[in-house]
Amino acid sequence: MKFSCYILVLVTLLISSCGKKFLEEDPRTFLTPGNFYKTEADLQMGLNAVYRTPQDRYSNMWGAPCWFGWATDLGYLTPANGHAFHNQPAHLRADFNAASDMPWYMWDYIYRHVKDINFLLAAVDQVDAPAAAKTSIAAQARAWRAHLYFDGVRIFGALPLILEPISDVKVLNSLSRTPAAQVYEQIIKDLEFGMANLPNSYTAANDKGRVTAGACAAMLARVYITMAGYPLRQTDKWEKARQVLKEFVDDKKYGSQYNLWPEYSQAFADANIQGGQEAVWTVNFTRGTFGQGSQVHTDFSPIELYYDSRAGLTRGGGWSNELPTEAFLASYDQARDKRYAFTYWKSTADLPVEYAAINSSPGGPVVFAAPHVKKFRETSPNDNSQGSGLDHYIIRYADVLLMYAEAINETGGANAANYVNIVRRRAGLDDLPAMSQAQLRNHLLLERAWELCFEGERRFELMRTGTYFSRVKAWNPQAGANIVENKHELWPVPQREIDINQNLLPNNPGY
Amino acid sequence: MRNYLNASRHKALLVPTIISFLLLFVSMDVAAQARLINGRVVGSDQVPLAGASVVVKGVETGTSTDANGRYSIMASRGDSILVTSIGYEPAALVVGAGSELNFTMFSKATSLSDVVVVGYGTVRRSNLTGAVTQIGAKDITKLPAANLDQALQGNIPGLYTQQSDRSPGAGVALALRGNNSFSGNAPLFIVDGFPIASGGGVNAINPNDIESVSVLKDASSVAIYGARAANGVILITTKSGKAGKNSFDVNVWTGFKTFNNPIDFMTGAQIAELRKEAYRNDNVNGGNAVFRPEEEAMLQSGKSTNWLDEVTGSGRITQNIQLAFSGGTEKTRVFVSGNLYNERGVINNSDYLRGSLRFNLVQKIGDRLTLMSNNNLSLLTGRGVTGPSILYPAYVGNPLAPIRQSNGQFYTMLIGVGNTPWANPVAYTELIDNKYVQPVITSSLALEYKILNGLKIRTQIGGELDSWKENFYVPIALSANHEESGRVANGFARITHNTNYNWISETVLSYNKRFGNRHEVDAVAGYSAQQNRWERTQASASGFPFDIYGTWNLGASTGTPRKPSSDLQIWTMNSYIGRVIYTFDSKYIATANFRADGSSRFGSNNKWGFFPSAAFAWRASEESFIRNLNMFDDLKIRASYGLAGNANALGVYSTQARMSPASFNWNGIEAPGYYPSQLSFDNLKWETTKQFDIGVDFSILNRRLNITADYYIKNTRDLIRQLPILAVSGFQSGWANLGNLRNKGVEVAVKGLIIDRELKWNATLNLASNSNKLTSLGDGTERIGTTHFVGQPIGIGARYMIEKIGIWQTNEATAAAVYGARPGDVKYLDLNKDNKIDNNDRAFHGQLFPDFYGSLTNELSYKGFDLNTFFTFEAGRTIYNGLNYKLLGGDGYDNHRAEMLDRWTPTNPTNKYPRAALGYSNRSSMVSTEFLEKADYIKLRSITLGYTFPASVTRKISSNNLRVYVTGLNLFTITGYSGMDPEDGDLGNTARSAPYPITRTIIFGLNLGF
Repeated sequence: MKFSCYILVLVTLLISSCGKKFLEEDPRTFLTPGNFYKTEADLQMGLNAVYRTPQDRYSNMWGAPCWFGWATDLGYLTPANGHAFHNQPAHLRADFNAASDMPWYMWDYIYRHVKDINFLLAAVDQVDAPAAAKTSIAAQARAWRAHLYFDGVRIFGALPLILEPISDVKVLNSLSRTPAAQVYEQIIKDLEFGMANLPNSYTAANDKGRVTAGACAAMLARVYITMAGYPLRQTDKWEKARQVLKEFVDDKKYGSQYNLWPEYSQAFADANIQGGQEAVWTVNFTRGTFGQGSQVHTDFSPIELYYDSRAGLTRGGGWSNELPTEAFLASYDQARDKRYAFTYWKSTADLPVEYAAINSSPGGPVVFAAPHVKKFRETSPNDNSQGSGLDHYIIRYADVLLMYAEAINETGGANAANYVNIVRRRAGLDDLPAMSQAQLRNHLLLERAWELCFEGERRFELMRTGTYFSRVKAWNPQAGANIVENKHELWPVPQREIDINQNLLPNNPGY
Repeated sequence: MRNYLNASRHKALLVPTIISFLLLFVSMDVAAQARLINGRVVGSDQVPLAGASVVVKGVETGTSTDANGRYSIMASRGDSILVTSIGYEPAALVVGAGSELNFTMFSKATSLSDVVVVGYGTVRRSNLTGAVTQIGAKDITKLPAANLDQALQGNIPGLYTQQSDRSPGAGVALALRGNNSFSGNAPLFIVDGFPIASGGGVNAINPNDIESVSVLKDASSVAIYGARAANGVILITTKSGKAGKNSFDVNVWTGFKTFNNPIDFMTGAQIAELRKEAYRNDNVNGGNAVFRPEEEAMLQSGKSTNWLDEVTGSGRITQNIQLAFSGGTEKTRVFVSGNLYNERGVINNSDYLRGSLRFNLVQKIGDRLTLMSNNNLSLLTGRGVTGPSILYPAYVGNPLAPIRQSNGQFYTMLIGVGNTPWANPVAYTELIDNKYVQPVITSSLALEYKILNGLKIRTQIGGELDSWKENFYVPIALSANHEESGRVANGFARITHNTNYNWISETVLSYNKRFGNRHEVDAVAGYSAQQNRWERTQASASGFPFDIYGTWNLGASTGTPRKPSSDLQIWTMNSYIGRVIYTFDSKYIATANFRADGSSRFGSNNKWGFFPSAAFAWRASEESFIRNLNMFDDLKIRASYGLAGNANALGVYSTQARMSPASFNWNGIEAPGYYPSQLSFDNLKWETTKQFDIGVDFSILNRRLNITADYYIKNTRDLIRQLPILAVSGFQSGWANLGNLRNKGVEVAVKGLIIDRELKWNATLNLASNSNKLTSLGDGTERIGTTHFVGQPIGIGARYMIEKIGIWQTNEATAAAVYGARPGDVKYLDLNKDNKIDNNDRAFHGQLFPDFYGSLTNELSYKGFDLNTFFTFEAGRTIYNGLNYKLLGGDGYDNHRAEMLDRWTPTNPTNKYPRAALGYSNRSSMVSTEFLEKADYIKLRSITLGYTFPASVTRKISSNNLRVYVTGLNLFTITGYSGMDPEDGDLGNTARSAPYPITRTIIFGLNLGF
């Protein structure tokens, strides 16, 4: 019986060696939320990923830099573009509907990044780290969430407001759309949290481009003036906007660093954007790092240049995705407005130094079929797979000044024109003549266009001012032929989502 | 010569064979006068049986055979002589006019007293309640197979095999009783009790070392393997020594492969004519650009390149050397073998080699304890490249392209519009260096202790180490054109190393006891723990000053550094096992099984799965009312029901949430960033298959005809599938157990001894039919994209296409114009009559799975000669042969089949092949029934003729067995399929893959035993 004893001992050992842990997975080649968020450094890494958020919205999604410029009074899609998903939102024909790609891309973009932020915010509470660091991380993340929902509510109207990680399919499938006013409340809360908890500026050079208290304040002003207009028309928000902007501009509450560059062109030199004096909130792009480069330049650059054998992408060619409307070009004081000369070109002859080799070669300068936007250009372009390093403004100080002027004008103040004139003087234009409230209101719509055109906000400016339908009808033959009032103000909720969750019905009017 | 005949003939062949098989039983005459009868007793493998008992029925005394299987005995005409031998079924013959009676003993597999290997033990065949097919060494070595997969082909009713990859050493796709899952059908392989976890583990087994393979099919048989058993279980038992019977066997064979391309291609001149016609038809004036200078030169000299011929060769050797010693005493039994298998592919510079050493030991220690150890060391190596860079361009490559340029360098092959280069397949076979080396070690140690009579405990520890390493080098001359390695300059070198460690510990208590005369209980209970660890390391480099280093000095690279990569995956399982078999009066047998499986793969809320099953069998032939019918020698009716799981449908870590990197560049400083990229799926679990099986086994005509038939229904639920989730979550898709499918079918195995005289004829027919249907997706949806449709077989999307109804003819120009087509273009069915041919005109066409399939084996022996023919066949399946999209394209740029000579022209108004056209303008749809073909076939997979030398000869060399044989493999296939081989899988239009050539092999072999 000696052997059987040994065996029994062996068996006991074997069985006891496999406890509950034996069946638990412990992956080492990838991170899980469970094994990742442990330290302050981990939270910072989570925040780093959040900072990539706007790169999609302003560059990486197909033609994204043009999405909110197409079908406005300023821009239209080149007829040479054959992509249905570009033509749909630009032409606004019946095939722009819930099944179209563009609304889905935008919807997916918003929630993909809201999810990143919500996971990070949930982890902030769990991690043992200095309170100040945690608050700063949370404040930056919430500012980005406000930015995402602000886009969402302006594009889709009411939409599900998700503020924490969510994965239960049952919960997801019972969600419905949160009314727009409630979404705005949350946006305000998130921005106010940023204003209260973020610094006016960062001292470390590497922190250039982080969200500041001023960025949140300026965004809050933009939120207020949006709420004051169509469709909420909460006109009391004009006063709130005026207060925030007064603190920003007159009281320098968010720092005294903000100013216009002496020349309009200087504002768009890469070295001057991020962390520069005109920068309030920016998107950072990095050249040559795959996925972090900007496509803004290729979207606006001439396709003629791309196809010219002497040029190509590496000499500034692109896709001509958004071209300025004739009516808008005609609206400029083309001779005097420095912004006009800086913003457009019609051939490589307009840049004699840069394109000297091409211009002097036998074929002569490359001439484009229509004027193109050259506001966002690198002087030594990269190929488009890598993207450019040209950073992009979400809000710049010129916008803050024009918003302030608008808020003063709408609340009956007298000195609104002063702030417009700061912007006009830089453009080489005279001060405004005396104007009534309505006249200035109308003028501001144009002044904003001249100053801020193609930077990604035009659609929303028309929308909040209630001028979307009439301006597009009058200025943009491409979309004007098809635009339907009380429909195209919003994009449809993607059909894919409705197929999964019927509570998202009814879709927006007209879709 | 072409051996591909019309498909309609195969039915004509089958019927008489089956009839002859059932009816050809020979009657025998009777008379009486005692005289000396002598003869020889051999096993079914023609090996003489020594010590077999030989008696005349009704007479007390008898004799036994000598070492050469010879006997002599006094008997009268009409007497029955009965031969019995351990491990063989008794055989009886009636004395006729002659004085010599030779006996071939039935193989063990058909013997009722034989034991069948089942999960965690063995049972007597008579007590078997489940659907189990067991085959022995003879069946396994019938085909000179590179691996077990290949050896299983056609041998198991209900096991569908498809050898679409015919490269050296390649595996075979296996599906037992239909497709059970969206995620693969691989059965569970268990070698000597050890569940094999890696691909190398099965390939490392030398088929010559296998004693038996037991294929468990029904729920009661597989359920004891629980969560991994839903796709069936294949139990492999390797050989062990036999006490008192020492033998040393040498088996050597050498074969020669030939490649006879069943596809006729156009010549260069014909291609040129086609291209010119395409330009004319499309009114394009190509001017001087129609032919490149190299093509002009080829045309001038009347040359053309048959790329497939250029990359293949005939007379490639395949060989096998097996040395085995088996023997021992009552205390110690050993089996030792060494094997070398070497196969060179018909594609140039491709080969496969397996060397293996086995040592199996059974040692009794004292009266109660037995130690068992099975050990195998195999080294697998392979060389060569296939796939997109060789096979595909070898099929579609332009015959007007030269192999080399005038300066002797390889020509970069070009095709038409856009001039996208295909690989030059000759350059690739000659220049690319791709080798792998894979040592596989499996080893186990078991102790069995007899506690009481009938009560044993056995504990076993086993381990497996599988280390696969590949060295891949693309030389400087080629690397800038080599697509798969990313077209890098100056050479590309890569080393990949995958290592798999696997261990298992199992302890099983078993109990077997008879109570009185009528009750018997056989029970097992056990526990097992298994862990598998898979590691991967890969490093690559490019930019070398010269090719000398190959892969052996990655650091010499001067190119941009490439990131190395590594990976680790670990999975574990814990299991509890139980089974009771109760037999009453040898008539009624009941089996109950249970297994609980815990797996690391399962979601945290579903860590354990429970898999019960039960079976009942009734041996009707033991009832007197059946016995009195005097019809059945044996009759058993079986029924079983139970659950099994498919845990492997869940990938390792697939239930885990994941973070993915998204670094952010802070003003020139790249800072790591991470974001949640996948949800966790805490409820995700195994797929469950409920199976009902009813079967019958019977023997009639003095056990000369044995039939086993089974009918089954398998309902699989909780299919693991990816489904879209509301993107509001931030994720687009998730995994869930949602969806049901059903397989049902019949299997029949018929074995008969058709002639039983000096000439013996044994035949085995295996037939199976399975139907598969996706019954629900679980969430009310009716389809997954256009891949799976509820109510159809899974994957039916591959048969959802537009129908070709002919070619637009000259007088139909107006009607054709509606569809943007013109006379000569392919005409499609406008199903929804909207005057457009698009995705909305798709319907289901053809079948993904066969109606039935099977095999027919005939074994004849006469004196020393033996002849074995082995046919496999199937009917009903279709193949989508998208390769013909190119080969019948009509532009004259890529290679074309000779059939395109019969293309449509105004004077040849065929409805088969469209006109010559540029850029595929003769077809408005890529995927249509035009390329769907029937895969029905009958294949003579092997035929063997052997001769066993008589003892008088073998004695001179002290041998007890000497047999020589010649085998032909794949000598012919009867099929209507126009591609390489009807076992091919679907080929996409632009998948850039192509089937490996089919080869015919002639093998010469020698078996020598001492």
